[in-house]
Amino acid sequence: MKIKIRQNLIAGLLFMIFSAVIWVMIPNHIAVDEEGLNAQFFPKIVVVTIFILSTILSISSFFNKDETILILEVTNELKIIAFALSMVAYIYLLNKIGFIISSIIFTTTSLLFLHGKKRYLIVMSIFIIIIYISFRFILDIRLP
Amino acid sequence: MDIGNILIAVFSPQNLLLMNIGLFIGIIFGAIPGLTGNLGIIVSLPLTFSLTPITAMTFLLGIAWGGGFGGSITAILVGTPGTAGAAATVLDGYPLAKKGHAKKAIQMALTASCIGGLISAISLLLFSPLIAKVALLFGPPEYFMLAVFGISIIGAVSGKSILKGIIIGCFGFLLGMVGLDNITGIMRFTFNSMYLFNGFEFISILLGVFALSQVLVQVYDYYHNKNNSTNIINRTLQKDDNLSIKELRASGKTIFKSSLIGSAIGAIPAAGPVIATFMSYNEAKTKSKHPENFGKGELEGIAAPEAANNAITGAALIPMLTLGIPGSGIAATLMGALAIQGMSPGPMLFSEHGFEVYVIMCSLIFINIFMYIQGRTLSKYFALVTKVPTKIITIALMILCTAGAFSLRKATFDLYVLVFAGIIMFYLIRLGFPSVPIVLGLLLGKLAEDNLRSSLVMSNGSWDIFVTRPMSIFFILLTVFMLFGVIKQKRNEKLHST
Repeated sequence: MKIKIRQNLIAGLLFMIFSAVIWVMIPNHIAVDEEGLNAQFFPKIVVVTIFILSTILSISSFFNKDETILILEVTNELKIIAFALSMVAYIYLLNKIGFIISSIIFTTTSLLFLHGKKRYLIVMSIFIIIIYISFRFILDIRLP
Repeated sequence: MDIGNILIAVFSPQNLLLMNIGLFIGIIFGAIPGLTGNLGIIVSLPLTFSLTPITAMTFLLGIAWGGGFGGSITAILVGTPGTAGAAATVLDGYPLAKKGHAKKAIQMALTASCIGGLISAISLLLFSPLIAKVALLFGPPEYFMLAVFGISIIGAVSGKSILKGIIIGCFGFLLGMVGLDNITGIMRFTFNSMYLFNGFEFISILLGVFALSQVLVQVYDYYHNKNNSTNIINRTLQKDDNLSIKELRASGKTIFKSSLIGSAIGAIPAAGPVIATFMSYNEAKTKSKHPENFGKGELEGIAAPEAANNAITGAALIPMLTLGIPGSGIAATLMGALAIQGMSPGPMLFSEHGFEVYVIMCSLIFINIFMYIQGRTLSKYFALVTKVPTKIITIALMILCTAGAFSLRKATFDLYVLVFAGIIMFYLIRLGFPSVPIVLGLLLGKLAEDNLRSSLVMSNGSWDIFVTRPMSIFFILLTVFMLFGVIKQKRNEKLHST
């Protein structure tokens, strides 16, 4: 299945929503006593700028002849999301089972994703061990 | 300043060793298709935390310089410019390599790069102290207008859409605002997490935005079959295909002229390598006795862009070191690296860390000399690097980034920041957003905010303070001039593409 989206329209809408959410969050996350040049002053200016520019970007999408149309293949998009999730899982596992084992698991998963050759796993395992030893003994940084 | 002490520090064994390791890493990063010298600096940043500012910076500058030359190896052997600066090198480098003279092409690129780099290093040494002296007179209003000028660079590094560049730059500002407010001491967007009290860790954002996003881009390209390297030629360098003195002498004038063009343009923030390299290429072509040979494997066609390309890298450090304005992606990364070492780039740098800055600037001269030596002796091995499978690089990059992001605070929180910064940047890239403005926003946002507020406190809230001080007016005019220049440049680029 393929989905077509207008690049500038989506980009603009995304940042319109983002800036609106930050605008709502500012009073709760930046506590101020005085009016005027306080800690909320600059964030508000930046948020308003983002909102105005992203609105222009969205609207321009309908008048711009060169607007890029992105064609998303759902299967491929899901694979990318799965790979991104494997990155998050790698970080989660890092603290649980350590750098070397989690990195080897991540490498194995990635090679499955990318249809890599088996010998790449051996090369990468050596690389992981070299990184671990270098950080531990040369840089004096103990990886998990 | 005692020149003897400076030279002792430059020639310390540790400094010489690290600049050579940096060069080696840089050339490898530059030579691997898809990787750049800037990425090499970012990935290697964590390795510098335990080094002194001098050795850390010479190591990173070695990577930057090596990356520039490494990029030309890819341009000559693969025919794809790894960086914008190497685009003009492809025009003659790749055809010459196809004729079987890859080694000669690489040697010409190397020699021109070294001479360009040397001339720009000398210009850096001569002009930076003068500019820094003037900059010492700046107060908060001048600093604010300087930051605004720096921010206007975003327009030039925004790729196709200036609008998207400004939006993403503002996004960088917001990221920079997380943590303690310098003026009032109030916490902003910290969600009561102690990890955010000092804001996001710069290195995690940097690695995520530039390196991890590339990991996902590589995976995406793999699934969309864009990663076919169909234009690969024989990458084995022939033994007796050396660049002769006669050939070098014939290109001498071009190399010298291109180095001067590169140094002059590089000192202008955001003028970019494309302008200087193509300007030098055109100049060489116009003045050549055989302009018809250009584009078919002419040695001068390699010498001109390469000399200019490396000259830019050195000259781009002038506004970064003296004014705190990073004019390029590499300068922005190096500026962050200096800040991590406790040396804030800007007018005060020369008075507070004069010795270190002079040692770093002098080291640049020797970086170019060592680059020549490494390039001459190890070229055939560097050429092999272009064969490393993309799949291995992709996974290795992820593992390196993870180890690097962990090393500064040893906090898993920073690793999550790294991964989410990478994922978010990947989707932003697909929506056509450039990545460099985020870093510019992060670096300059705080400078702009603090000095704007200090200026308005000084003037009791009156904005007139910015238009009544001569230097402030000068920066306003410079910003307007820059914006017009950027808009004109974008229009020209659009016209050329159509």
